[in-house]
Amino acid sequence: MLEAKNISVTAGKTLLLDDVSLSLPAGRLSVILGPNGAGKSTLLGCLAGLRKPDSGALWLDAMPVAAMDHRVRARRIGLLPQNADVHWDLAARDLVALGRFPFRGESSKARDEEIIDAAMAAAQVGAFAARRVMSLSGGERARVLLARVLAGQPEYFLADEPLANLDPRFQLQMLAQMRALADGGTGVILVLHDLTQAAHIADHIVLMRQGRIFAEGSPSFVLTAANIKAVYDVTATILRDDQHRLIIIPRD
Amino acid sequence: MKRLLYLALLLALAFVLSLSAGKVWIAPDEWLADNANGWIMAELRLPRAILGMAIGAVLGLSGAALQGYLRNPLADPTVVGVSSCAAFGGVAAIFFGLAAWPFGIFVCAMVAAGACVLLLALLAGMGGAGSASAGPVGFLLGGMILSTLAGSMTAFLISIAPNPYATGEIIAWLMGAITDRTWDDVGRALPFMAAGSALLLIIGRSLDALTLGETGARSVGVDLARLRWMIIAGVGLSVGASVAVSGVVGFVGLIVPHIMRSFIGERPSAILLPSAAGGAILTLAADSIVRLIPGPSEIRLGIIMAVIGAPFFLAILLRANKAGRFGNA
Repeated sequence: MLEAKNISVTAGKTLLLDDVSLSLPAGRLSVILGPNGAGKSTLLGCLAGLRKPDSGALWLDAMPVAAMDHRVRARRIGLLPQNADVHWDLAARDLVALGRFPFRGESSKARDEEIIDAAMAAAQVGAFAARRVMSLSGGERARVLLARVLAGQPEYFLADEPLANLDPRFQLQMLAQMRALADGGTGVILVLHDLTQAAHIADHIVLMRQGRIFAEGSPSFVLTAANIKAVYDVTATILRDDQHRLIIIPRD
Repeated sequence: MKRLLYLALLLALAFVLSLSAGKVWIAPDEWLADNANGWIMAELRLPRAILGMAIGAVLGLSGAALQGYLRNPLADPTVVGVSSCAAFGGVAAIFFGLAAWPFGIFVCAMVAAGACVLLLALLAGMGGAGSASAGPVGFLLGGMILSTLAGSMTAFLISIAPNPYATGEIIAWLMGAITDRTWDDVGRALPFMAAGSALLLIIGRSLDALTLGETGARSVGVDLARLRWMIIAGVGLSVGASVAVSGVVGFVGLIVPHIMRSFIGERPSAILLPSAAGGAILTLAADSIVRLIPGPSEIRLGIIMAVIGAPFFLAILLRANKAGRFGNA
């Protein structure tokens, strides 16, 4: 269980997160939604253990994350950052191998190689192993970066807008990957923008507004026209497709 | 692996070239002889070759580490201010007449480099983790402030130098050379260089992780504050000692990592050792050319390095530009 207990974050005089408490169990796919500036990325940074809240604390299985060694934390919580830049033109496999960084000295080379290959296969980038990352398309690179996080085999997988800049097919592949992770027992926490995609993929939705959690629960419980109006200030038409899945169309 | 072997061979060749270069030709069978030629080899050429190798190695290594850390292929030891600060220390030693004391220049330059390291760590870390100024920008700005400050203080000392002779001495020292260095110089500089290089070599994997950006690197467990300390201390110790013993030799730290990247690939940890070897080769070769050019006195090493380095660097940039390496960043 990854838990935020009463965390607040301020930047200058701006309150980015205001007394947020949240429990994220393993094996559940949670999606954080909210308008720009609602504090989604800040919350994700706190959950990843990379941003220290000004008050409140983060707990991982009843251990305070702030007290954990950087590498120990990194083995358990993986993060796929937003629009991840790649600064040097590494071979794709070398980039994926960075996912094993927290395990230096704890894992054998043969085991690392095996895990890296498996991660690349899972993200369907095995064929690119020797390719330089700068020569890959945006969608291919995004999947290589996904494989990097998978190679760390984290208990909690956090991703900030993992669907940005992906075409519809890659988006579906990425979401299927997240679903498979959660079904395999990983706690998955995603920040997304598309309400319909969130409704399809999420077990649990956290809807944020102005640094606070406005509502949380199952997609059909949280994503109501009233909640969407209150948070995004848009009117939403909510439909169901033939498989009874939510389709949410926002308009003025 | 094969490329590393070639580098080692080239390094050995450059070392022998450096031992052979000089005003007099000494046949290899006289290198160990118990006469004047043997003395020249043992007391003049050997320490000079070792120093040239060590200086080139730490400059190449520091350049590669800094470029990796800052994720900027234009970074080198001079941009973080360590060179200028150490140079100011050396100039101050000459100005105040401490150069006559055997350790004068060295100690003053190392103290100035140390002060630079502490100030840089302070300036670069000021914003705290997570803020923009804690990243490469803060680091580069801090280095630029220190470099400019040390540069103007150096210019100030030159401008108020008591006599033309002192001015000439200061300027000649600033240009960088390893002429007539002794085993004492080697003994002073090497421990600092070794300690600094060790710090830079052990952070290689963390530099690799920075390929993912700062957030990505932290998410795989890199402690950025610790990394910043290690790189500042590593560059401060090794480059500080190099400037203290030879003056400012530019370009090595900038161009060598580029050359290595084009042969070995861009993974930051993979080019650390090759850049050290490449820096040593380049410096030994340049220092041999310095001695082979006929004339009443030797051309300064720093000048030769810039003369070779500038067009070479331009060629690399043009090639990289053709490959679209900088155009579509």
